Amino acid sequence: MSLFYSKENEMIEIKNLQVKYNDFVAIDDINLKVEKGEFYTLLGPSGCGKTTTLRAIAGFLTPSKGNIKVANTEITHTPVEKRQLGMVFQSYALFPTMTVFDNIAYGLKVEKMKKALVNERVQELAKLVELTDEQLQKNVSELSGGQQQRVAIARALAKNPDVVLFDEPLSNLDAKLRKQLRIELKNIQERTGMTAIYVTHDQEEALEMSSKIAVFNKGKIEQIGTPEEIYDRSATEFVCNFIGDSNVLGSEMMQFIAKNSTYKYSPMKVYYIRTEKLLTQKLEKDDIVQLPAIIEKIVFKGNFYQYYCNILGSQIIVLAKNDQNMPKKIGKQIDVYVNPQDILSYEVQNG
Amino acid sequence: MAEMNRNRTLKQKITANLTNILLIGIVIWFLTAFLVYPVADVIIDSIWVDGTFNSKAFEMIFTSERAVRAVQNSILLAIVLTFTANVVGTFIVLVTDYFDIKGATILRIAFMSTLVLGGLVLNNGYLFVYGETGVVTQFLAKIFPKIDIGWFNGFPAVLFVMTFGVTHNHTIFLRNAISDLDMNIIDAARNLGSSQWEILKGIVFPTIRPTIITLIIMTFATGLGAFAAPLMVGGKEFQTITPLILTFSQRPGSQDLAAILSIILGLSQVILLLVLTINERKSNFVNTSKSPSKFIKQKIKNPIANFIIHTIAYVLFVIYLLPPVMVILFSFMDTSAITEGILSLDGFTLEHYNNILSSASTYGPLIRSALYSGVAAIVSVLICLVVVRFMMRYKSNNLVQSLELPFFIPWLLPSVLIALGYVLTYDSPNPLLFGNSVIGATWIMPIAYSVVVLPQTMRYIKAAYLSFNTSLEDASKNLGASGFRTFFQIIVPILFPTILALIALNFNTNLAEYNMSVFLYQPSSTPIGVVIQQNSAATATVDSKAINLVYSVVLMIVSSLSIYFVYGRGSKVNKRRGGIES
Repeated sequence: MSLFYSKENEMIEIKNLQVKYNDFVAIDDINLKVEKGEFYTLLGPSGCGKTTTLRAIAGFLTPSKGNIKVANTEITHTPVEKRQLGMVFQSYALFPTMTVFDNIAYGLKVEKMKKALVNERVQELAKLVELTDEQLQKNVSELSGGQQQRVAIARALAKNPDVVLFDEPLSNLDAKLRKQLRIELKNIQERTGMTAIYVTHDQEEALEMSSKIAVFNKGKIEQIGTPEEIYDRSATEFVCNFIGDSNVLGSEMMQFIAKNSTYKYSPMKVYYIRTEKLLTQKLEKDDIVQLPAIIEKIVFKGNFYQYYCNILGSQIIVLAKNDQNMPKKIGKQIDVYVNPQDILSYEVQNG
Repeated sequence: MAEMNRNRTLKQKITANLTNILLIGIVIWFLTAFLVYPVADVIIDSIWVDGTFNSKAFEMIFTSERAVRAVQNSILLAIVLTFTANVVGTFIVLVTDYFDIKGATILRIAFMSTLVLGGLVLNNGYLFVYGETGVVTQFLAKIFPKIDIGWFNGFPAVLFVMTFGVTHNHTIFLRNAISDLDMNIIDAARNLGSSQWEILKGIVFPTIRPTIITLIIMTFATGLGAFAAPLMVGGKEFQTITPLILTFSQRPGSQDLAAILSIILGLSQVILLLVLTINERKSNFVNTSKSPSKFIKQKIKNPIANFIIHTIAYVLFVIYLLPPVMVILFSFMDTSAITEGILSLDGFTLEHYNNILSSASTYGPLIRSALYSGVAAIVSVLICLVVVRFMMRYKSNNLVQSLELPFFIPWLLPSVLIALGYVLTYDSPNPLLFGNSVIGATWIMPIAYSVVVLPQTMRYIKAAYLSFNTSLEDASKNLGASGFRTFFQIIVPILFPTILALIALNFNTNLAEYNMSVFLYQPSSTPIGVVIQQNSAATATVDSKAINLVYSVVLMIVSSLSIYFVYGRGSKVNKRRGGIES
């Protein structure tokens, strides 16, 4: 059995999906398409419906409306055990009474695969996720959190599934290990070519790993796009606020920008700008606007400083590299530059 | 190919459904034949006589001085016992697990001794020490010849035995609650200037209050349904409801009275069970501490308090340990030493052990009871495993969910009534038993034993199942395993420590069972409980006493071994299986 997936262009297609818990509509009108080999992330805050969507794909929840297709095959009502989808759980869900080897081999034994082939496949997977022979013979409780996660990934990949579902798999690990495993997981995905659907509430994780992101809010999808599209061209105010750090630009500041550039201001809109888009050094471009900023607080962040400034009545954060020769005095005025094209605007929501 | 797969799936579905239907059918038959039908039959027969309400029986109960006194005595015992047992129980757990007391381990062993001294054996031990011919009584009588040798009798004696006899519940449940205390919370209180007493009163007690309330209700229920103690040490002047039910039900003319008294007792147990359930639901508070730290025992800072607490702890140590130690030591004494209550090296003998273990007529009851209770322990666990599995799987199926209810009947009605139901309902061949009757049958014994332990088995298996990490089941299914495979390869191995613990607990519960056995046993195959009770009468011969001593020692050893097997070795297995949840 090859570790690599077939070249067929398999994908997941979800149409008008709705899941209800009694009368409560957990997700509604979810539509998405996942291409073969994509790393597709469902991103959003707690309770937004991302895990519900994943569990509906896995078959643990029955949709009240809509349908799910895997590789052009309708699976909306197929029993969990027949779906052939790998899954990595948030709690890892490793079988505590079994060794690491038995955990990885479990799905293969269910399929009644020959012993020699099971051994071969487990060895292959152990190599992929960097587990040693000695670790394979241990009980899963004897492994560290990171190692347990590797076992969970190997187990999910064992049956060479069409799609692997990841339910916040790194959320139980400490920050450093999380970053390390993020890279490793992405490497595994690229090497195997698997199609991954990944649930997380961590925007940094989503931006770093995904080929496509669906941002969820209150049971609905707000935006689907590549990480760059989601970050640079956030489609809704929610997405803009949820992803990255932004400044809200007040009306006085916006009127000033409009007066000094070709940018059109409307009081019926709200305006944001990513913190890194406000510059402390002038760029030689036509439409750059210079703004007067009063320093109110300075926070040292290691490789940069955060300047909390008052710009024409708006509280604005400006970033400056720590090798830049910037004034460090509270109350002092500095010049900040903005390219109006970097400003994100959204219609004011009623209520 | 697709057609073949579809056919295979359909075939698998039909086989799985047939297995499910067959299993549910067996459970429903078991519950109907051995629980619901005989109990309902005896109750209905008692309340409705010739199609009319049997008001005469109710009148007889409320006008019978003996019955009214029994009810009063039961209530008195329940109230006073709740107070004494909880004071003693809380104290012993505090000294072994909260305060840093010297010799805590040895104290704990003594305080937990009642765990292996069930009902009859415990009472037999206390009688052997404090009874009319008891060791301590004889010793005191030599010093004070005018002493009333029958002093260990009536309400004080029952209260005394039961107070120490029920505190093993505290050593299990309250101990867990104390060891779950978060040291950070205690340190925080100390940091805010609280004294040791203020921490105990303001932080520890409110935290463990739900457990204490549960224990209070459990103690009250135990007091209300007390059986062995009133029967063996209560004497004529202190009889309670359950022994009276036994007396009434042994006379054919007053069996309706026994049934009605059982209903009264059952109703009060229903109320207590409801209060217990409401308490458990209400007291579900969560520790908000992000990283709780392990509780460390507290040193008592005040030297006077420290001295007093140490003294009381060791006095209790003697009280707890005296009966089992005396029983063990005197089981090795010759008959004259037993009669005179004197321990000496000259009196040492292995004769009693020799006699009992070499004759089938004397070791027979032991083997028989072990066999009955062993089979019952396994059967009850198997039945509950099947039912709980179905309940968890078919959560929206009302029929499956309602299967749980009959399992709690044995908690509500005295087991005597269930046994009486078997004897009266199945005194002739019955279709429900495939044309058999229970008259002259020994197979009814393990069945009866398994029925009485159904409530505790159900409760613990359900709790274990509910605390089970359901994502493990999801993971197994996601990997393609069927429900059957998931159950046997994933769920059962994880529940195994609980299953083992329950088998041991059920085995111990029934080993010296008396209430049901006295109705159902065949004279040719007497179980140990009945033999011990017969041998413990004040008029019993010294040989009978000696036999009881040996039986008690053997039962203690068997119980200790099964508890060690579960809590000693089993807890290690548990630990190994833990730590993987997050």
